[in-house]
Amino acid sequence: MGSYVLKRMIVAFAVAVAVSIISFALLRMSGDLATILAGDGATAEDVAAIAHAHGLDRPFAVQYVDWLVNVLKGDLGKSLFTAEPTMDMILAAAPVTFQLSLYSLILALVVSVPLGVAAAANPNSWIDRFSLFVAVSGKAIPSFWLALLMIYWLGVQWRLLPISGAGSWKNLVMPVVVMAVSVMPQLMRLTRSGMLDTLESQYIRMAWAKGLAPRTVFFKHALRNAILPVVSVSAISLGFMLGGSVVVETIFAINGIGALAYKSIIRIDFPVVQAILFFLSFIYILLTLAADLINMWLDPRIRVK
Amino acid sequence: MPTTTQKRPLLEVRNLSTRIGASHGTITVGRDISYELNPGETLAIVGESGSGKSVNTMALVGLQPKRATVTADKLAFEGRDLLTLPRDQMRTIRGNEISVIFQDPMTSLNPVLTVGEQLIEVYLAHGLGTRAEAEERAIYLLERVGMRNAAARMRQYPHQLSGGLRQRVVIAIAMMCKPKLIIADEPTTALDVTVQALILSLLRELQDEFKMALILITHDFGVVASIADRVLVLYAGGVVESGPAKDVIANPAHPYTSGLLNCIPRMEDDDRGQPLNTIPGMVPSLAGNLHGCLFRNRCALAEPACASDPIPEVAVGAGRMARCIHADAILAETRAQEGGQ
Repeated sequence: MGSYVLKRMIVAFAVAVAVSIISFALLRMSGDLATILAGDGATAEDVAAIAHAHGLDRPFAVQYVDWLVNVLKGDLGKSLFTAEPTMDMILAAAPVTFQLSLYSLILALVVSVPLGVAAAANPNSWIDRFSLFVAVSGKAIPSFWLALLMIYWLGVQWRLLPISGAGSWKNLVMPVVVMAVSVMPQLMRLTRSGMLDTLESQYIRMAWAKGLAPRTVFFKHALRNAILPVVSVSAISLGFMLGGSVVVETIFAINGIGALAYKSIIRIDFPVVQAILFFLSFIYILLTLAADLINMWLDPRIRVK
Repeated sequence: MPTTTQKRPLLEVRNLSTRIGASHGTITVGRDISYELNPGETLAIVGESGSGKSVNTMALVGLQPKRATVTADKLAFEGRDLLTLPRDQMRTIRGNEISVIFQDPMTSLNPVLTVGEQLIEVYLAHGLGTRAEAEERAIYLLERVGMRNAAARMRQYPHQLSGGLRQRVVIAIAMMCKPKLIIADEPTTALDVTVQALILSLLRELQDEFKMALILITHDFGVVASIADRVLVLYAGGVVESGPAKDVIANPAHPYTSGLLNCIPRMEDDDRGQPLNTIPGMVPSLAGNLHGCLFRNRCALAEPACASDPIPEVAVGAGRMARCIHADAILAETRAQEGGQ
């Protein structure tokens, strides 16, 4: 059990290093940063000076190792525009994004897991068809469109909810619903297919033969086996929402990580972009690790492997 | 004051039929199966794969496949009609008065629940007592089925146990609520030969001790001989022969039964190097309208009359029946052979 945890952590660390190298390289491959920073009217000397000032004229490996040493010292660089430490900018933007993503995931799970179970318990019934309809709609409706619809009806026409900003729980309702709708379909379909597989198994026949109530068979015997892939995908969905909430944060004027990333990319604030990439990949890896640990707790067979 | 009361059988099955709807028509996997089972009695249901022995027996407790339709003129357990019983009442019988032991112990236990939980929950689900009482009974039964360190085993998960131990757990689960009837679906098929004998003798011991009736589904006449009081031979979903196990094994009255018995390799026969005996041909398709004796395509004695419908049940001795127009002749012949030896 302990060795399993240790192994997962070593893998997670290796992934973190690999991701940091790739993201570092990608950012430098996206164009000559010095030229872009220098602007249209700049001379070759200006570009060279800017490159030199930001250390962009050094070999890639040197730049990376230099950056990595600073990261290990807890220094993720400074913004080119505000000279503020990128770490402070991220830590200021993170809480609202975390709150948003976590609530969205919880809402998505609360809706999709029971719906998936009900659909699997009654295949081809109205509830199964309804859940399929919900899943397809959730996947097909673009987040920005749903967000605009909600703003128009709930915010402007009926004045039920504030249309932007932060501060009260009411501000969170619309963005949370929009993000939950986008991740719900895969969680629901995964619950359904996992349940369908599990319900076919011999130990579920045995559970019926024991005379257990349907609720006990579905939730105690089947769901715990069927939920394992849902846990893994939930972690990935949460990571996706943390990094991919750019659209939602922009539309609802929420100053989270997504908005910060968007702003920094637009003004080529590459130390900030770099830091956000690193931060998000780090979170992603933590989430995957957490999912592995939850699955280990749910499935005793993983514990001994 | 009644002088004698006719003892009611525990289970009465009359003309049980099972049909499965398929895209290309209805498949009849059970046709007019009838038998009775007295308290404490052991009935073996024998047949090869596809004979319908599992489907038709699981149908007793409503565990047939979803697409299957079960009909019967009578399907009574202690006088209660199992066919029309509402679902929640069927649930109070399942696992409580009628328990099921499935074939494969490797897959019939839930991998994510402890052995103890899987034992206890059935006792609690039927409201037989407190959790502490359930635990006490679970440990007692685990010891009774021959597991050492029962208290420690309670906390283990199925993957930590061998196949033989898992089947003992499954048997203990079946015994938790002191059932009146246990349906065992090939309980030893998936186990090592050495373990098979142990599990069988355990089942028989428990049955004697707790006065349970047992329906044993098997394809193995060795198992039948060692444990069954009576035997029901199924072929293609229909009963071809039934009677006391000893008599049927000694003098089969149906060509299919003797074919099955001939398939058992014997050490004393000096036929090493010879191919093993088999019944030629295959089980016929059960789709569409079926008529006559379904074994006739594989039968050495087949004649045109075998295709006529229906083949009558022939009483061939005390409590014995065979569905073959040659039954009397076959019996006379085997008896003559025995006399001549």
